[in-house]
Amino acid sequence: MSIRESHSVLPASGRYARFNRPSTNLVGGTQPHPDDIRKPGPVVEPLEALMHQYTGRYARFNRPSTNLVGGTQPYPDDTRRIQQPAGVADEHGFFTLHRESVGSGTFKIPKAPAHAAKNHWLRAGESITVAGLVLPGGLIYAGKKDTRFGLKEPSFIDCSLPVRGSADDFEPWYPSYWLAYKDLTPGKRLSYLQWLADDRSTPQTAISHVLLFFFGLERRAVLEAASDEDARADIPAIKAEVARLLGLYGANTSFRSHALRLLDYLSFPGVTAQMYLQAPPAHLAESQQMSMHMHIVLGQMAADKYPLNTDWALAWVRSDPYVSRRTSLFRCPDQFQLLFRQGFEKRYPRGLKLLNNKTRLRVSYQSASAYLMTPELPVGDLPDISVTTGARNKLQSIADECSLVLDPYSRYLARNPDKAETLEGLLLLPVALWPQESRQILAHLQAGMGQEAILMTLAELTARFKSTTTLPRDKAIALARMLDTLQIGMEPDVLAGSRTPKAQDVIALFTAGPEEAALRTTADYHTAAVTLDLAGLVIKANASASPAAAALSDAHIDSWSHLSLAQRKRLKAHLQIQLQQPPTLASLKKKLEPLKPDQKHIIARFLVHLAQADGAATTAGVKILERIYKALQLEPQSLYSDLHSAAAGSPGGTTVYVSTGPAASVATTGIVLDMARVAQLQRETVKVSALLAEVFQDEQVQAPAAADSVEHAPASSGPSLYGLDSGHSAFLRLLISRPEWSRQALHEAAAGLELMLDGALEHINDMAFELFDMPISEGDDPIEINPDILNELAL
Amino acid sequence: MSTIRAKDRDAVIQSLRAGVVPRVGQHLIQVGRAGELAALIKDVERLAEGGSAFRVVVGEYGAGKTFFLNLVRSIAMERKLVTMHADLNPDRRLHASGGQARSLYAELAKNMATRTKPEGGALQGIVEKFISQAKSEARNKGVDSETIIRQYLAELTEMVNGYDFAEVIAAYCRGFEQGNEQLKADAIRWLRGEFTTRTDARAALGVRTCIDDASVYDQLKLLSRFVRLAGFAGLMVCLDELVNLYKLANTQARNANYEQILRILNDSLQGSTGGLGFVLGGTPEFLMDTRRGLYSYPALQSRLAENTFAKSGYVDLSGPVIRLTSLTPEDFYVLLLNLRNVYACADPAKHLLPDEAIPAFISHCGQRLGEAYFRTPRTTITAFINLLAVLEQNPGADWRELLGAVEIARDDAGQQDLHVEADDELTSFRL
Repeated sequence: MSIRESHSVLPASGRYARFNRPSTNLVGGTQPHPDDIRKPGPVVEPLEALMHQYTGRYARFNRPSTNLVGGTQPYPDDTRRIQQPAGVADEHGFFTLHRESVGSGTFKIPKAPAHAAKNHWLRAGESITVAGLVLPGGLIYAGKKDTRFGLKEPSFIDCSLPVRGSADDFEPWYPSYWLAYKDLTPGKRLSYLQWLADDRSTPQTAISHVLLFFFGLERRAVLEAASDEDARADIPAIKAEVARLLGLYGANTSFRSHALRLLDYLSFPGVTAQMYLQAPPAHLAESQQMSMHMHIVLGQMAADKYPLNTDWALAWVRSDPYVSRRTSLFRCPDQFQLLFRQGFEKRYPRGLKLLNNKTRLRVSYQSASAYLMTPELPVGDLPDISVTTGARNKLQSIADECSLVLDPYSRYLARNPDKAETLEGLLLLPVALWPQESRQILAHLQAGMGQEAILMTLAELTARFKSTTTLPRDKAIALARMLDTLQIGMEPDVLAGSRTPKAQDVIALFTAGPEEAALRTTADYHTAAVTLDLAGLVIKANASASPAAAALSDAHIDSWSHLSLAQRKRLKAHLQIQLQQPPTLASLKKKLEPLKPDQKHIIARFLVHLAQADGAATTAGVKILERIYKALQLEPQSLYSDLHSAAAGSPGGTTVYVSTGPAASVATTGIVLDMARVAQLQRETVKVSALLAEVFQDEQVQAPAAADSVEHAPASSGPSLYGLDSGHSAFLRLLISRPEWSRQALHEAAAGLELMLDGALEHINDMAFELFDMPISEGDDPIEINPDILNELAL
Repeated sequence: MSTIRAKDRDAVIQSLRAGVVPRVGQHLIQVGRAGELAALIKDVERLAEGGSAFRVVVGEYGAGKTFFLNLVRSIAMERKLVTMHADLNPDRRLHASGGQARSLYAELAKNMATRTKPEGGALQGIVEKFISQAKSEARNKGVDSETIIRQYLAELTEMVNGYDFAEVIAAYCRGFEQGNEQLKADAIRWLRGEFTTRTDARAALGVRTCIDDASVYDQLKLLSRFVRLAGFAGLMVCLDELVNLYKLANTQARNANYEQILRILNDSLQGSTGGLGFVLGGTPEFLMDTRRGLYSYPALQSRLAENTFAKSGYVDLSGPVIRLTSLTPEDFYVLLLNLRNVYACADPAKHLLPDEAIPAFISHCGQRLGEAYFRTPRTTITAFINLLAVLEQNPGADWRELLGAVEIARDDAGQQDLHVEADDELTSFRL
C-alpha cells in the first residue's frame, strides 16, 4: 500500500480508524478534543505519524488520537524520528529516505519547547508562591498560564488554574500515567501544592503527588538535559532529590521502579566500547530491574565474544527480574555473593559464553510520564541478550542452588534480624560463609581436639560462639552436622536421633573419621549404644564411678569388632557422657523395645558383669539391675541367676566379653566338651576325694593301729570289750549273737542289763565307727547286725 | 577310693534313681568344688573345737545345694557332730506366731542325726547316751545318778529355758529308773517340741513351759550345749529351701524371719554360741532380691556383702556366702564318669559303658533339653542310671541303640521356687 496514495482515505481505513474519526453523532461517547494542537500541521501528521502507526511496536501509542478526551493522548515531543532513519517502501519496493529536517516544510514550526521550559523550570531552591502557598524546594515547572507547555508537561503548575481555598480532599488518589496538574480538581491541586509546600516530605501522601512531581524531574533530566546545558547542570540536584524521594516513598513499588530507572539512566556513563572490562558499578546490583548498562554490557560481551565473568554474572542475576530471585538474595547479599561466586567459578571457570542472538538491542529511557517520549540510545549493533533464555537459565540454576543453601538463614534473619551473627543463625550457613571471627573460634576448637574426647557442657560450647540460649533440636542437629564437616564428632549423637542436649548437659567432642551417618543407624550400633546407656546407669548407681568398671566397659567396646573403629570411638565418647550424666531408665525404654530377646540377654549379662567389676554389687547396683531387667522384659529372677553366676563364676579371672553383634549367637547344635576343663575338673575331683578321704576314710587307715592297741583289751580284761564298760560289753556280746533282733526283745535284754537301749546302741556303734569305720547295728525295728563287722570283731 | 561298699553304692544309686539327693555316699560322686568343701570342712572342725559357724550356700535350682548340704552334713557326722536338718516350707519358718516355727523345730528334732543314726531320729539315743554316761559315772562315784545329771545340767539352767530342759532330762532319767515308759515318751515328746500347750506339758512333766514359736532358736542353743555334754563334738543345723522365706508375701513376717537369721548370724560370727553351726541353702534371688531377699534387710546385706577385694581372679571363701555355680557340661562329664564308677563298684572291668558313650549321652540330652539341661541335672542323672540299669540286665544290648530311646523329662520344678505367694498386704474389694 502506498502511503502517498492512501493517506487521503486514511481516516476510514486501518486498525485505528475508529479512534481517528470523531463520532459526531454520539452523546456521551468520545468527544472531539477542543484544542487539538495537531491541527496547525495536518500535512505533516499523516506522513510522519503513519509511518509509526504501521511500523513500530508502539504504533498505538505513537499515533495521537487528536480529537478524543480520555483516549490516547497526542505525543507532543516525539523526537524519536530524529534519530530514526525514516524508511518507507514505495510501490516498487524502494525506500525513500528523508534527509531533510523534520521541521522543514510548509507547516508552522512550534515554538521551541526548551525556551518555554526554561521559563517555567525552577532550579533547586527557587521558590514560588502558588495560590498563597510558598513552594520552597524548586525543581518544578510552574508559571503563568501556558497552555501549550501545559499540554506537553503534566506536572506544569499553571498558576492561573483555580485552587480550592479550604477543603482538601485527601483521598486515595490512584496514580495514572495520564496524570496532569491541569486535569486535577481544584481540591486535589491544593493537596498537591500543600505537599510541595511541605518540602515534599509529608510521609503519608498520595503517591500521585510524588509521581506528578517526578514527571517534571524526568522531563528535565532526560529530555531537556539532552539538549540543554542548564538542564544538565540540574542533574546532580535531581539525582539527589530522586534518591531522597526513594527513601521516603520507596515502599510504593511503582514509584520505586520509576525512580530506580531514572537513577540508573542518570548514572549511565554513556556508551563506550568494551564496557564489560570495567567492574559493574555498585548501584547496578541494587536496582531490581535490569539496567540499560547491563543490557549494553551483555550485548557487547556477546558481540565481542567475551565470556561472561563472575562479577557481571552476579550483577545480572541480581538485577534481572526474569531470574527468579529468592528473598535470601536481598536479605543476605554478602553470603549470596560468596556462594554465587563459588558456584559460578566452579561451573564456568573460564566464564560463560553468550550467544550473539538475532534480536537487536534497543535501549531507551522508559519514562513514567506518558507525555514524555525519550530518544533511543545509540548503542550500536548489539544483540539483546535479555530475550534469550540459555544463559539466564544457567545463572538461574546457580542462583537456585545458592538460595537453597541460604534460605534457612534468610528465614531466620527475617524472624530475628538482630541475631545475624549468633550461633543459632550461623548454624544455618555453611562454615565457609561464617564471619571471620566465628571461623577462628572453630579453628581453635578443631586444633584442640586430641585422642581423648573433650567433655564440656553444651552451654560452654555455645558460649564460645556468644550464644547463651538453649539450642532447639534443629539447631543442635545443625551444630552436629557442622562439627561433622570439620571431622569433629559430637555425642549425644543428635544426627542419629539422640535426645537434644540441654544447655547444662555434658557433651563430648572427639576427632571423628569421615564416617557415614548411616553407619550409626544400623541395628548393631543401636544395640551397642543402648548397652552403654545402661552400662552408664549401672556404673553410676554402683556407688562411685569406678575406674575398674570404666576400664571394663572400654575393653568391651574394643572387643566389638563388628563395629568400625570410628563407631567404637564414638561409643567411647558416648559412654563418657553416660558416666557424667546417666540417663533415666524411663528415657531408654523406647530404645530397648526393638532389641531381640537374645540380645537383651547378652546385654543383661554384660551389665551384671559390670556391676560386679568391683567385686560385689551394692544394693543400689542390684536395684538398678532389677529395674533394667524389668525394662528389658526379662525374667526378674534371671537377674539373680546371672548375678550369681557372675559372682561365682570365672574364678580364673577370665573376663567374659559379650558381643552385641550378630556373631554373638553361639551355635548350639552340639555340645562341645572342653577337655582341658574336664582334666582340670578331674584334678580337682581327685583333690576333693583326697579331702573327703581324710574325713571319711583316714580313720580306717589308723584303725588297725587303734584296733591293735585295743585288741589286747578283750584278751586281757575279760568282760570289758574295746574300752566299753562291763554292761555295754555284755550287751555287745548279746547283740552279735543273732543277725537280727526285734526291738522289743532287745529292749528287754537291755533292761535286764540296766541299760537304755538307744543309749547303748549309740554308744556301741560310736565305738564301732571309731575302730572299724562301720556300725554294728543298723535299723530301728528290726535291728540288724552288720555282717561285715563280725569278721572284724575279735570275740 | 579303692572299694565301694555295696550298701553305699545301692544307697547312692537308689536315691539318684528316685531323683533325690543321696543321704550317704555323696563323697563318691562329688565333682570339683574343692575350695567350697575345704571351707566347710574347716567350719566343721571349728565347730568340733567349740567354735561356731554360719554359711549361706547360694546356688540356682539344680546347682547342687541340697547335695552339697547333705555332703557337709555327712562330713559333720563323720566328725562326731550331731546334725539337724529341715527344709523350710510355708508351714515351717524361723519365726512365726501360728506354730510354724515350732513345727520347724519339730522337724529338725525329728531329723536329728548322728553317725550311728544318719537317717535321723537320734534324739532319744543322744539323751540316753547322756544319761547312761551320767549313770555310769554315778556308779563309779557311788552317788545318785540324778545328782550327777543335775550337776551336768547346771550349766544349762543359766540359759533361756534351761531349767525346764534340765527338768525334762531328769524326768526321762526318772522314767527309766521307774520303768515309766509314759514319762520317757513325754520327755522325748517335749524335747521334740511336740507339746503344743503348757498345760499338757505341766500335766505330763511338771514343767511350766513348752517349746513354742518364740523359743526355737534358744532351744537349738540348749541342744547344742546338751549334745556336747553327751559326748558329741557339736551341733550343725542345716536349713534348706530358704527361698520359702523370700516367698512370704507379708513384709513383716518376712522381716521377722530375716531378723531371726540376723540374730543367728550375729551370734555365730561373734562366737557366742559354742558348738552350734548353721548352714542355710537358698537361691540367688533369696539372697539378692532387693525387695524381698536378704538384701532387702540392710543389716543382713552389709554383713553378707562379699569381700570387695575378692574381685574376679581372687577367691574368698571365708565370707558367710558360698556360691555354687550351676553345672557345666564338663562337670557333667566328670559326674557321669563317677556315676559309672560307682555303679561298677569302682571296678573298671565292670564298666557298662565305654568312655565315648558319655559325651554322646551328654549331647543327646543337650539336644533334647537345650541349655536348660545343665541347670536341671536331676532328670539327666536319673536317665543315666536307668540306662545303666538296662545295660546291666541286658548284657547283649548296644548302648548306641538304647541312647536314642532315652527320654528325658523336662524338669520345671525350679519354676515353683519362683512362685511367690499372692501379696496379702493389699487387697481390693468392692462394696
